[in-house]
Amino acid sequence: MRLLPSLEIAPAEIIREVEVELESHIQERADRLEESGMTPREARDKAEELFGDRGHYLLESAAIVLASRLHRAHRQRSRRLAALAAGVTLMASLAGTGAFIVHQERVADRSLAAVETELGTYRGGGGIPLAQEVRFVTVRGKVGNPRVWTLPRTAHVTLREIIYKSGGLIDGAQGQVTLTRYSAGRAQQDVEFSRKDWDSTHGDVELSGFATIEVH
Amino acid sequence: MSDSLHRDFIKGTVEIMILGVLMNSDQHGLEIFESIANKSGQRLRVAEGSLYPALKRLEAAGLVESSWRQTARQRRARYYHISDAGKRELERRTRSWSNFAQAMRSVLGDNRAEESLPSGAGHAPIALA
Repeated sequence: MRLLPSLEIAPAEIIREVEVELESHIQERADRLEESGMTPREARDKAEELFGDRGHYLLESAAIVLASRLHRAHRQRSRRLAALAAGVTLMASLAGTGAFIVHQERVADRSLAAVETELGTYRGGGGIPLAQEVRFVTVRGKVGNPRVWTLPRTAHVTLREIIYKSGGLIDGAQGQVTLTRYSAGRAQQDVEFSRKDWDSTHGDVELSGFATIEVH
Repeated sequence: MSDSLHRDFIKGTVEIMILGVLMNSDQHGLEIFESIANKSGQRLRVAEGSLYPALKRLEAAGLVESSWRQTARQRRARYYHISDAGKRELERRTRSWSNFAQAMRSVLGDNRAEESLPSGAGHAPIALA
């Protein structure tokens, strides 16, 4: 039984989901235009034109869905962790290990606080910033604090920095990194870095809207 | 009005219109667009794609819910339904909007600027996004 819900959110699936919805809108519009006498090609072109900047709306919508699901997953996880810790602390303190449980809970709180801070701007009444202005970088695997970073597009970030800021390597980690970038719902590239690469060269992270860094 | 303030104002306007048209029936994105266009007498022009970020914001806030269904043309589309929280929010925003409009009329002395414009200019479509 899984005690804590996973925080893994698949950006590619979310983009795909929104993409299907937008395509359904454009196709429905094209059908109507075709019935009004346009050729299929003219109808499709006109439907695309009426829809506007598809890539822009796709990324902005996907960013909103991603932020919302992350927030929900974190809240659920935090609630369950609190309930679990409350129960276990009582037993653990009898065995003299209460401090460990309290430490775990604080770590979870800190992680939640980080995401709350990231998402705070989304709920502040100003709405979600345009997806084009930010990058979502998921760092997961063998780091101290796996998390999703929301980075300004203009920020200069290196692999080394982002891994260290995600809590650094945990015991037993090899330091091998897999970098996957997503574009239009598809994984575009899969780059492998050894620890030597990212630790010594400070390799820059060149990312578009969404990317995942898996640390092994 | 600064760009960001103007953008927030537009976002809020699109959202309240979406909630308003969903009060009548569940609709998919294209139907929502057409309802807004028809109800405004074609005077409010929203880029079709711009509805989606607004719909996702409303859904994230729990004001609408969605599910995939078949359209009349047997295509699959995501239909949106206003939630109870959405109905309450619409009521709140409508009240707030009415107060704002009333305040603007008071400040502007209810001048009918439209009357001094060339014929038909008062009905030029307003592009919202």
